[in-house]
Amino acid sequence: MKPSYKKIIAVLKYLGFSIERSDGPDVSFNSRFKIQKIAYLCKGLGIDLYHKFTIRVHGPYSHVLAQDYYKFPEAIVNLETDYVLNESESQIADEIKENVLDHYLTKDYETELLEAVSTIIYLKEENPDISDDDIFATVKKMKSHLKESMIIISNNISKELLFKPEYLTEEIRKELDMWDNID
Amino acid sequence: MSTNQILDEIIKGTERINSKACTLNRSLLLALCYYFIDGIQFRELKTALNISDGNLSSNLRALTKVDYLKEEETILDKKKIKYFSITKNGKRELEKIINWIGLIKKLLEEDKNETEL
Repeated sequence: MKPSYKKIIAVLKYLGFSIERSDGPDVSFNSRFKIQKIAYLCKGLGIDLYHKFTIRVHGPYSHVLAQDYYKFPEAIVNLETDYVLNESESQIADEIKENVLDHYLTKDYETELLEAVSTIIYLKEENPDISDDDIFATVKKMKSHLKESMIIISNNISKELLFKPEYLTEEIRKELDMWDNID
Repeated sequence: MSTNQILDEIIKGTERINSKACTLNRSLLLALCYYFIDGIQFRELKTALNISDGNLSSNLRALTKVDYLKEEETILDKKKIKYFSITKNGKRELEKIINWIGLIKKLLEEDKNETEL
């Protein structure tokens, strides 16, 4: 098994993710779909993975990752890996859990939320200066089944996920304090 | 392989390829389902190919009927969705199409070599 695949399994294990099988030995469509999106979120947020993802048609999607779980389904179904996440990888997994997997929308719309957030993170990775309007229009065109509210909420989640502490300058901190202290 | 042999192979290849699969849209559907081995949802194919529901449905039906694609159903977020994946026969047919196009490419390259001489 390749190191990147072991790393993805380690993230899924850390997240307490349960993977369903299809009727045969393979991973179910539902689980494959979620694995792809979570794996891309990991990569998009900074976990070093060799898998390359495409956004077209079924994206974010990695053909090589799909080959990995078809070749080694047992490892991912049983979450077997000898890879141990380092501190920064665990932090990224925590952020994914807190902002996406534990979001109130996942109760009924887990796959849509994963799809929307991972798509938006991909678009922002491709074009960091993309505006909210362009994000909305592009996602709506690519994934017409997603509701407008889902795209807006997912865009807000993507901002939380991509936010880095160094963005919080003294000037912004002061302004936030002012807003917090308004009666 | 000589030019005559290549031409013979192209003509023989035409007979081997199932003309029901070798339209532009159907070849593309086979190629996409070959690449996205997880399977592709109807709605994803519709957006990607930018064709009508009716056109996509009839192409998918034709490919499913000859056992090149298989249609399955699953539940995503409590909604029933259809997805399509390629079968062994579908992979074999796509490989025939690719080989046939490869022969045409080879033939044209032969021609180019002669022009350059």
